[in-house]
Amino acid sequence: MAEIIINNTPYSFDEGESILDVAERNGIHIPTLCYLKDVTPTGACRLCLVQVEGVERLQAACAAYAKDGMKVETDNEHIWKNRRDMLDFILIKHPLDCPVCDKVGECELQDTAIEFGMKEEMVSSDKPTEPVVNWNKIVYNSNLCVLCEKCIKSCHEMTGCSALTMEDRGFYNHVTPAKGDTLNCDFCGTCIDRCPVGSLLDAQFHHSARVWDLEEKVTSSVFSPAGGSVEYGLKNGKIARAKAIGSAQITAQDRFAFKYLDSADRATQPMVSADGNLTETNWEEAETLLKDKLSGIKPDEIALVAGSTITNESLAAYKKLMDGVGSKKIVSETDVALGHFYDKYSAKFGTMENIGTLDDITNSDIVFVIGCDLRREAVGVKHKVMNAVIHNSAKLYVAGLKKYEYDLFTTKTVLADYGDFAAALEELRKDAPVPALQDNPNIIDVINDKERYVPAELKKAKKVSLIIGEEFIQSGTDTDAVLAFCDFIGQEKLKSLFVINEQVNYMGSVVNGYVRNGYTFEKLTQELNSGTVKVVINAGFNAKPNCKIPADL
Amino acid sequence: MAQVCYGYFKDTKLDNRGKDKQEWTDSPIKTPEEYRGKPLKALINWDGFLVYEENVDMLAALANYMNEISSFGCCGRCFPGRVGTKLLAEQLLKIRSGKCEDADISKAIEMADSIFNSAKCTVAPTSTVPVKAYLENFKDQIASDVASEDDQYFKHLTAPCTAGCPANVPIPEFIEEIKDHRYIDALATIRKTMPLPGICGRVCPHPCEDNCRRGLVDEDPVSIMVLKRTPFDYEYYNNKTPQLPEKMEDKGKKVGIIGAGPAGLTGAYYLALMGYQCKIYEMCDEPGGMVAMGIPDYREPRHILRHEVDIITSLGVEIQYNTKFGGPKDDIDLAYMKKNYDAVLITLGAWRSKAMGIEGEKDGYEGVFPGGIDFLYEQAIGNDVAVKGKKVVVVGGGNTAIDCVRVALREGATDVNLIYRRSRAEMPAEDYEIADAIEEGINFHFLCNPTKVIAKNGKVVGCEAIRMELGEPDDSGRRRPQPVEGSEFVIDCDFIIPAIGQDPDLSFLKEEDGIDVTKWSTFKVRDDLYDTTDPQIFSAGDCEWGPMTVVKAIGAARWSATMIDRYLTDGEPYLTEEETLQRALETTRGGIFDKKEKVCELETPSIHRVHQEKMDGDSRKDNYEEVEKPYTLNQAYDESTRCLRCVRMAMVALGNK
Ligand SMILES: Cc1cc2nc3c(=O)[nH]c(=O)nc-3n(C[C@H](O)[C@H](O)[C@H](O)COP(=O)(O)OP(=O)(O)OC[C@H]3O[C@@H](n4cnc5c(N)ncnc54)[C@H](O)[C@@H]3O)c2cc1C
Ligand code: SF4
Ligand code: SF4
Ligand code: SF4
Ligand code: SF4
Ligand code: FES
Repeated sequence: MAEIIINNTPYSFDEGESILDVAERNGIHIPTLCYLKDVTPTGACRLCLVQVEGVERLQAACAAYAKDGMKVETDNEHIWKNRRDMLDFILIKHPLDCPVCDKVGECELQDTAIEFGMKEEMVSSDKPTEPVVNWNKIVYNSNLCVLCEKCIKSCHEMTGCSALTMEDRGFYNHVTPAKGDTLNCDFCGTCIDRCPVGSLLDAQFHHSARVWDLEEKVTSSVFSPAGGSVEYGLKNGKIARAKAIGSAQITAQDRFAFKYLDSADRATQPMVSADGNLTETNWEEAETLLKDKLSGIKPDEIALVAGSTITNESLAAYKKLMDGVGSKKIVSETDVALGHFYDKYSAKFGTMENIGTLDDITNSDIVFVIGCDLRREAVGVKHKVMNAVIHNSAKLYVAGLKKYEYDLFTTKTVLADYGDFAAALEELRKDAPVPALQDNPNIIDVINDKERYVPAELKKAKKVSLIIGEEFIQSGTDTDAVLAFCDFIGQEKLKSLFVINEQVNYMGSVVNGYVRNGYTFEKLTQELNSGTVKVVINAGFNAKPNCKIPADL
Repeated sequence: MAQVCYGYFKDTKLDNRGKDKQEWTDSPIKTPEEYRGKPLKALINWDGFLVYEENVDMLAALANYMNEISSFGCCGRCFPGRVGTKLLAEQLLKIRSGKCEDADISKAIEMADSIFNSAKCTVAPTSTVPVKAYLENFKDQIASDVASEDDQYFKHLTAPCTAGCPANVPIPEFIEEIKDHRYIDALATIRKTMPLPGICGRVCPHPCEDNCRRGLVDEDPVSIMVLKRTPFDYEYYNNKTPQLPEKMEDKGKKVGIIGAGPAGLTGAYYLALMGYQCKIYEMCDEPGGMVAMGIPDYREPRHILRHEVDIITSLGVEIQYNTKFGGPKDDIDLAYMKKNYDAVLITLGAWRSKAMGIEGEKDGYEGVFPGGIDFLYEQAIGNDVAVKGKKVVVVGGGNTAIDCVRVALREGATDVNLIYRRSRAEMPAEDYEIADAIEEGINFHFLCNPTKVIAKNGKVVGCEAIRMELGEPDDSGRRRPQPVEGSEFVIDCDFIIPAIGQDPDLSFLKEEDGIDVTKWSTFKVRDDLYDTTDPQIFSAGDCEWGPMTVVKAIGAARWSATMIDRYLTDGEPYLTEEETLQRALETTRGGIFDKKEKVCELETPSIHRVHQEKMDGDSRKDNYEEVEKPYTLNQAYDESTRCLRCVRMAMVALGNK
């Protein structure tokens, strides 16, 4: 077993781990500023300097590999002197704008200066005075920037957008949009969340509040069908900003489109509809009213349509209600759009659920993304896909309505023109065309190079992931097309299969056994038309997106 | 050769102040005394600084050097390199401003130390060497430094590997981009000086790796060549549209090029980017030169080569195939080219095989090939070389010989032999290629020389050879082989392929053409300027240097493109001040890469060199599938972390005469 000796104590480690990895795992504190777990190390700040025996220059713990028998010191005078010099270099050129900086209170630079016990600058020098720029939803203040590259690297390696880059060299380098003068990116704000100082800020939040005045509230995201949480900062009970939690990401809607929650039209009390007008009431009255309406109606004449966004708790309550009235006629709104898909899916895989885990995506050799706008439909899944490409050399094949923001990283993107995913999948399956007759049979044409086609890659792959998204489902492409594609991949290779749909908690209702118990939407429609069902309870069901619902409702 | 007044270089103090100019020390960097007519006053680099004239404002020069390091030399991706160097430059200016106290000097030295100890790579640390050397050794000079009489400064950024690469590929830069997972950017960086990275990433003998400082740490240099093909493979296998730089505005001038080998293609690529209309005339019916017709497909798949040529022609470069350049009997001649083009670049390679000069070779026996390239050419254009089931003897020790035996094997020869007059260690072919050939089942006969072709009924039946032994070293430093008397023996064979060398066929040139030819039958050109004795005609590649390598041809062709541009815009080719500095550094032995440097104590240990996947001997010996596979992205990342990023900046101060 390989061992590294840190401060005279031996620790075991796995190949590829850095000195910092080993130290952190064993509770040895090494200061960092530019290190970010999810991306490849930059080694810019040099605050993590350590001394390695036999090596004259100090080494960055975040970037140096642990090696067997390596002797490392993390905490002596020489190290601290140099770490302090590094911080000093930054502080000397960092404006003293803390009192007016949005970041104050959660600034890593400030925290580190305090940790290092630094107050005065080693020498005085002119501070940079570049103008603050506005890149649409993001404000960049290069004067504050410490060039840690967390923004650039997270945008490149985690989101795949690669919307930011470094311009110029040496002292004059700075972060800049990769294309054009401003950002036209996803505005996921992953970069904002990673910036350790007040250099990148959310334009909406900019100068609107001090962070210590914010009350933090973590809640699940309504924009993320594949699950995910958002941290809202509330000021006087109103949301002032949204952030991702820890190493997660959130969507642009999560971050910037929360104003609707403050809408004056939001219902906060039960309401009664009479003559087309809504009037507020209280829960007792509402209950009496409901009992009144249902009296005299037979249990079999009552059905319930459950919306897909309601939580498991509400579902349980509705189930209880239906048990109370004695009806088993519960359907989910999602059955309208996805029922057929899932009928075939479950017939094939014996389950309605996703197969495999998110980590299976990360470990894949090939990932197929079929009709899924990951940034909108599932940022969490996208992160895993990017991990697979960056950290596992995975090949990424995409069939989509357009080229996505991470196209730089795809092996091949096939466009599903007019939503024809069947044709796109057919295209992906294609092998190299048979070579035209050549004078020399050893020479193949560029288009005949088998290595550029999926079958050759598939042959080499051991683990394959497939992600099916809303674009595919909405396109109306026959489910068989994608199921046949699964056969093409082969059961033994297909280690994970994710179906992403916008029906947020459909799976909740299925897994808990509330719906799909034999009563289907077709039956409900029939029974409504024939008058067998007289009352339909609408449980958080929004008819608009699923507008195939009969007008009778 | 310039003489040094005072300075500090590679841990040695030089001090001739007050002495007669004749007694000054020879400059350890072989530099001319003038750069484009401007007198050289001082040279600063990572090894120290050299002053060539008594009255030079060294503090100003050093402050300027540091400033340039902080704004240009350093990438700016670590704090000490980005800010520390800037602060040090400011500190030097403060010292120079007059009110200099000892504390200011110690502060500067302290800053230099902390940059040295902490920087991410070795750019900023080595840049502090001249500063410290000056402050510590020539404190007395500080006060006497005179006000600058507007000296001009010129700088050059390089790296040991980059300087060792004949095409000067910005190696640390593109490796860094691979480490950042920016493959498309890495490819753009490579294409700045190397338009055929797919080829060079596969077949280059990688002289850069002999100049790699990583090799001084743990024996194995960075696998620069394989890393170079990685971004190209990424573009190709990931179906990305090549992103080439914008072409400059059309200059309204035409350049005609002879030969579509690596040199001709490279010249066309850079000239087209500079806004010239380029047309290549090529005698074969496909591009690539020796890379297509010599190097077999299992080393450089032809379809990948063609793809790379398509990228070049996408710039509007025209190639006219099946057109031979030469004398009156050929399709086009010198007069035609001179009349139709503002400048002509001749890159026709070395296509004439040398003979062994042994008995029976020229007697017209069936089974004797004129040369290795002729054998490979026949195979490459799809002709049957008819060695199936036969016994073959190849003579020679270079790339060509190895390719011949391996192709003969793939064409079905049952008994394949290679005869070389020295031992394996002296063989010019890459050692791994010899190992590969042995693995495939080739019989090597080292220390043997052919003496006679043995024929029966006009057909070859054997090759007589004699054993050799190594005597005294010759001019090339290799021990001279001598025959062992009476040791003749016969190898039974049906074919003999002499692969002992080529030279350019320039027999079409006539006295009145006014173009000088060297004794090696190559075009005579001026060093670094690439013009022949006719100012309108330039030459580069194998026909100018003699048979060499792809990368050498590419490097020379890119320089020649620059010189043609200067000829067409300024009337004559010349080297700029920066290029003069570059050539001075590159031609000084140990000037940029110093084998004796103790790197191991400075730098971190790292993982071992990563090797790409390779087909084994049995599965590759009967087909032309590419033997060496691309790196996976993870392998490329791991290998790229081994690079020490040895970017270096040198600067000269020139007088204003
Ligand atoms: C068998 C073999 C193996 C080699 N292996 C390697 C290797 O592994 N690595 C490496 O770096 N180098 C290798 N080399 C050397 C390398 O191929 C050459 O150095 C390189 O191709 C030179 O490029 P060039 O453009 O100067 O000439 P060439 O590649 O020879 O190109 C010259 C072009 O001019 C054309 N031409 C010639 N005469 C005329 C004419 N009269 N009219 C019109 N067109 C003409 C030719 O058809 C050809 O296309 C090898 C060479 C051989 C022969
Ligand atoms: S908002 Fe997202 S996509 Fe835009 S630059 Fe930041 S990380 Fe990149
Ligand atoms: S903007 Fe922020 S995250 Fe980006 S480099 Fe500057 S300090 Fe780092
Ligand atoms: S070149 Fe090296 S020393 Fe200079 S800033 Fe970049 S990483 Fe730092
Ligand atoms: S370690 Fe990197 S920069 Fe240094 S010589 Fe080798 S390849 Fe070049
Ligand atoms: S955390 Fe290691 S260099 Fe910044």
